[in-house]
Amino acid sequence: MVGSPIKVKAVNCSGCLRCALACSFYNTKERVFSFAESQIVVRPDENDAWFNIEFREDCIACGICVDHCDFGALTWE
Amino acid sequence: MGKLGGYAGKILKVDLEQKKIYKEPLSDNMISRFIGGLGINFKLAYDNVQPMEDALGPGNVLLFGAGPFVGTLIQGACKTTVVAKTPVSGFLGITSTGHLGMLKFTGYDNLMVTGKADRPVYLKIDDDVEICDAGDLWGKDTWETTEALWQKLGKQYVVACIGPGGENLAVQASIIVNKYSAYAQSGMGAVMGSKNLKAIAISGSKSINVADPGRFTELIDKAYQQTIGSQKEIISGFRKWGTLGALGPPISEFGPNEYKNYTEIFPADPPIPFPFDRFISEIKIGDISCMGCSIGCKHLIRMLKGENAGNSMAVSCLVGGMHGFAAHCAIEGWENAIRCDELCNRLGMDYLSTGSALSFAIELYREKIIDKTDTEGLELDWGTAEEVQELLRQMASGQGFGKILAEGLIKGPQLIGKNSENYAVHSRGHAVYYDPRRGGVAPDLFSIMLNAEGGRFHSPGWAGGVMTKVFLERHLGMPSDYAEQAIADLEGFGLGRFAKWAEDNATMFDCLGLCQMPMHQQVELSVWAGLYEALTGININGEMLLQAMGRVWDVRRMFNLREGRTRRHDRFIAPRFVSERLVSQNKDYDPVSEEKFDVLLTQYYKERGWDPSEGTVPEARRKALGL
Ligand code: SF4
Ligand code: SF4
Ligand code: SF4
Repeated sequence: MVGSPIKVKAVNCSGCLRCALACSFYNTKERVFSFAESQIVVRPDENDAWFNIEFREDCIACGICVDHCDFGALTWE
Repeated sequence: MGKLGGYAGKILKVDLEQKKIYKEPLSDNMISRFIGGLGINFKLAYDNVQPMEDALGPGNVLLFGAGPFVGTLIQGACKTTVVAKTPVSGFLGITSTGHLGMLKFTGYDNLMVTGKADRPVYLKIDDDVEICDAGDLWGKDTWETTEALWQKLGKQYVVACIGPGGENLAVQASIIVNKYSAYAQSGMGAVMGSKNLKAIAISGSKSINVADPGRFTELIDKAYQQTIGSQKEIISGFRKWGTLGALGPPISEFGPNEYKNYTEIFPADPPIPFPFDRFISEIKIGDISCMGCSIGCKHLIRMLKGENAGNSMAVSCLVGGMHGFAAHCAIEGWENAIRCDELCNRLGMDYLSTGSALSFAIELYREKIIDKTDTEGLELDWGTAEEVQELLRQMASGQGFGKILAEGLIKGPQLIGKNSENYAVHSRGHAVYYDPRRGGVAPDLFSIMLNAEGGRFHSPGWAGGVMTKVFLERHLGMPSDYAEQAIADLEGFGLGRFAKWAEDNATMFDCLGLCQMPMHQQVELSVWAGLYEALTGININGEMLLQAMGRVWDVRRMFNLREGRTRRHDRFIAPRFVSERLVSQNKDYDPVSEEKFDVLLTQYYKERGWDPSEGTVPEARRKALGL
């Protein structure tokens, strides 16, 4: 999604992947866990932010990932 | 009932010798008898390793197992276990991490690697499975290896690899996932190295189904509330310090940090050379978490010394490094301790077992059992950081005196001779996590002495919970009259007897794929069983789960009996604990009483339904399991 209203603070990301697991589970018709279906992608980075976060094109800005982030890496702008 | 959820449904078998790949269904029978993860790994080990096989020979198998909960939103459902015959003790070794759950998304619950490749290889598992040449990776450390594979394949791959430690078959060698998370103890890195398997790169595009999403959603919320929601303050402290909290009371009272190879008590009171405020202000950069966990007890820290000073490094169990180097070897200052951890991560060596072997060497040197001619000029003493780091490098590269230490705490002393075994502190070759002279014998500690065959938490019981009747009934699943007796008089009930219940609870976590940190033990057994039903669609209750754990322990016992395990092995072997007093810091502790331990052992065997004298598994139960 271009210009997502979700604010990313990658330095806070712990790499727990709960955002991605929740995105796929709550947003797929089949209610599955899947990294392929998730619209948020968390990958290793290796700086003071150990993870890099990106949104895929079909993100609907539903905020489920924000609700599942307990580390303050995702917040509403 | 909907489709099978939770499980990926297949076992991946890779024969490195024949270069063959087999994808087999995970049978209903396997699921109902052993649940998943650790339990299924045990059965696969029993079925596929011939008795008395060399742990570092091609006949051993290396097993990875992710339980049905892994890869879902169940709080703390992240642990995958690695099992093989361990080169440390020759029995069934166990270790786990929270970062290899990606395996499930490739469509496999368990991965079994057999044979030995004729040259260095790595395994690429995605929509396909490929055995790839790793000639250019062999010799690289774990960071270089991971970076090279990320460069080649992309960062969507989770990379589990060995460093020089595993390549050179050091029994302290670990497997490192994504540069930091370790399958630490039990020498699984050496087993991987013995197969010429440098790395496993995993990226999955498959899905994990949920049989009853509605009920599942309700129950994940309930489990989250019982772990995180109801203990917010504890959780935030745990996130801040992680396992470092074990440096202070009450855990420090059990003697997990014993100083100078267990000859003294670690001076935990100031002035310790590890100021905690400095940890927060200068060292810790952020929190790191396992897959699916909201706690985040791991750290991103800054390296302070060496060629990487100023850069960041993630560590999974910081207190392991503190035990191994700060306590056992008396290394001082964050700079030096973190440098030891960095070397271990990169060389693929476990913190605790490496530190333990090094502290053994230092004591031998001080006692003049070895000297400069043995160590090729290295002068060892407590706190000699540079020398310890050099010896650590030698252990990983199979050179100098390090080569002998890399044989471990059973064979190493045999090679050194001169009664050096009296200074080796271990339990069946494994580095020891606590001092039984100080900690005494509580059910969980008894279990560690008896059954730890790798990680501190993995499968020995840990009833990190509260001793209330409600807890024993609802969380450990004890019958009401048992719980009543245990609460009224635990010694009368039997510590050994109690240990069985604590173990079954912990083992259930390892089979389902849950983290064993105490907050997860605040979830009731019925909630775990409910989650299992809602996720998988298979009917089960708490009692059935515990019955399965009995079978898992039977298989483990059978494997070990076949390897010559007897009552004699079911204890701490370290001479120091049974013959020396611990006199330190105005305190004085007696050696451990072997007789007392023996009484508990009989109670334990009986509670497991094994033969009370030798702990053998009754024939009817063996037959029922096809053993
Ligand atoms: S906002 Fe919604 S759709 Fe977008 S990544 Fe987050 S959970 Fe997925
Ligand atoms: S963004 Fe938040 S929920 Fe997602 S991986 Fe990072 S810490 Fe976890
Ligand atoms: S509590 Fe710590 S070890 Fe357990 S799953 Fe969470 S981050 Fe991992």
